[in-house]
Amino acid sequence: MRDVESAVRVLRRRVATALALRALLMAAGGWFLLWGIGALIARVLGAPADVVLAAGLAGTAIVAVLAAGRGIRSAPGDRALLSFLDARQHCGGLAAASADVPLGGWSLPNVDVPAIRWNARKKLLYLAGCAAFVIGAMLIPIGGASSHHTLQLGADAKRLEEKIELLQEEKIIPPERADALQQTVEELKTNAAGDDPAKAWETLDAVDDAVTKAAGTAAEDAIRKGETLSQLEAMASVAAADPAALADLLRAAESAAPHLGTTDPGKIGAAARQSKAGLRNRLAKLAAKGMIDPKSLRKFDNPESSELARYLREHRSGSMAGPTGRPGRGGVDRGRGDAPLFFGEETQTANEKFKDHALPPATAASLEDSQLVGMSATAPQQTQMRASAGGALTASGGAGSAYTTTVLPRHRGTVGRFFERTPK
Amino acid sequence: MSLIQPDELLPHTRRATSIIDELDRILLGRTALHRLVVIGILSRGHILLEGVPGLGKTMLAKALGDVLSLELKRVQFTPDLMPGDILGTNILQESDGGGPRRLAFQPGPIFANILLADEINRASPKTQSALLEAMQERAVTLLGVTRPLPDPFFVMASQNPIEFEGTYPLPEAQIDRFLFKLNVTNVDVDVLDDIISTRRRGEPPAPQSRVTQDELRELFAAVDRIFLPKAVSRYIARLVAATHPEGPEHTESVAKYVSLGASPRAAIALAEAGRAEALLSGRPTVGFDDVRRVTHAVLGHRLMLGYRGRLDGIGTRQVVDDLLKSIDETGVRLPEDVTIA
Repeated sequence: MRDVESAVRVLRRRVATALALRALLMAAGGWFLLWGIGALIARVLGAPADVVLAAGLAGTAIVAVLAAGRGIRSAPGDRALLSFLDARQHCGGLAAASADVPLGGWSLPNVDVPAIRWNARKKLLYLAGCAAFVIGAMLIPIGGASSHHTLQLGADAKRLEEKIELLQEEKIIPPERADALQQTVEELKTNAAGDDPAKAWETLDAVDDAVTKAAGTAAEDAIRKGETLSQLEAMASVAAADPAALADLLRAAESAAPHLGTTDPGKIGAAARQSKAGLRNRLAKLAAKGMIDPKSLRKFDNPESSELARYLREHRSGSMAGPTGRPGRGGVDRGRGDAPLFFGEETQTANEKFKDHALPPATAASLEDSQLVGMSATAPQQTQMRASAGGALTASGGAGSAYTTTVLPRHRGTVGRFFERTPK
Repeated sequence: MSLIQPDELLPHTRRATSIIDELDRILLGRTALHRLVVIGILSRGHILLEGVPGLGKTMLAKALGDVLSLELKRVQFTPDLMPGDILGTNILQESDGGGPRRLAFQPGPIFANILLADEINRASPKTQSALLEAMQERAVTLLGVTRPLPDPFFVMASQNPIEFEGTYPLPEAQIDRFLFKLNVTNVDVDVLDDIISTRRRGEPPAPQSRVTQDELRELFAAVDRIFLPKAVSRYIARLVAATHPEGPEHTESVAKYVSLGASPRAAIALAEAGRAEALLSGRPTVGFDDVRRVTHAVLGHRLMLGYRGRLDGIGTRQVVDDLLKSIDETGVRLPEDVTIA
């Protein structure tokens, strides 16, 4: 038993606590729902899970404080609780009146503070469901969403770096260009995000294309240079046997290797072989890294100029005349225009057999089988007939003509104009 | 404003209780009825007694007049009773000494402290309506002259709940002017035994103590000093508002059965009767329980039920019971799942 004033204070505290907890449960449930939905959206958009978790927990704290405050504010006032105690404890209006007037000689009876009953089962179930939703939203795997995981480019990037190093070693690309490419690959390895793999792969492909293109260009140069060196080597071997060809060799050597500094055909040939070997080694490295087509290596090994070298070796004592014995380098489809044409023997067609084919008969009747049955000077009378279902209009010739034919609708205008024209 | 102090209130409470005791001594076995009648008198309200003949309604009125030292006049209402028979009339009178004749007002039986209107529903509506001004204004106007009635003035009317042939049900305006409608019911066997063994020919004993009119006025003054707390007045207002089908807190039975709710006069009656009840209980303030105790007597005759009530056999008692159960006295609004035990 307490005096009424303290009983009101205790009762108010109990009611406020119950209402605050109730508001807290409801608000937390609502917030958990929002948090869960927001977490799903954020995860789909690729937001980091720890950020979503931190935001949710911070929101929970704010919502809890606000809800508790609202619950406390919604508690009945002292006057209402005083009246409540008056009614429940049968104070006869004295307690209620104590809020309005001084009681004077009257004293308030002691009262029991009633307990608060709160049936929280539904609210707790609601909160548990909402909390489960949040946990599920945070943990459920979402397809296509990678929460800021770095894209694993290790193997491809390493391969690309090796290619760039090779190009730099072989001095195919300048060091600045090589450094720039290496830096690009490094940045990709560090910053490539899983949420946009296509972008990373595109960049990687662009670097790979640049590297491959540089290697391809270097291979073409090497092949071209290899051909020149092969020619030089062939001419050197010829010049070694025929001093008359030395002048041509020196001109060719001056053009192909200006800093050679020797006139000895043997040394020139050896230098050409050495340079060619270096080029082949380079191409072999590029082909081993898959930077160029292996065919390029075969092309380097078997240049078109090898035919020339073979010819020159076989005809080392002859002139530069072609197979026809006349100057010129061409064949049947190229070469000088004044080169004479040579024809072989005529084709024999005497014993050729042809297969007979019977042609189908003509569809039109032969004019020889036609018969004149009558003539008319006027236009034949046309009978208007209804169009058939097939769309053709059947017209029969008039004026005694026994010949009937079918005039299609698209011909009617022409036929009409022919027969209805006025004679001049 | 201050409350009436205990030493001031106690004599009045004793005096009011003595009236009830005296009535209990005169009429056996009707303590609850006597308490309500005294509450009605202390509230200065009119009382309608309803019961079958022979239950002591007239005797109660006579005993009350005797105990309170008030002049009581009885009028048997019949269909041919005219307003003038109650209010009085002007008659032509010869003056002494051969002077000119003049119209002199002859007061009717209403000029008394207590008018016992026996079987009031047998009079015509015209005659019934003659009581309207007297009951409300406590004055009578005749030929343009208004004459105040004696103070205090009460109407105690009785009506028979059976034998409705040839009766005129009281109009709502007049029913509303009665503070209480009290049902006078049969007494039990023990009381009957006491009556026939202690009362020869049913004659009641003479009162042993009487309350003078001055003491009665002091009692009225004491009732006026009983404080009505704000919370209780709010409860009364909500209770009366809930009797209307369109009211904010109306119950299902009100919506279903009540066609016309209680008037503001009912709220005033509840407050006044609550004050008198508090005085009888020896308290300076009106409590929620005081209001609940008089609610049936105040509201029972003021609720007009529709035809569904008759069909379902529902009376105003059930509707008022429903209201008292459903309306929380204090208006503390808590969520449904939170309750104060």
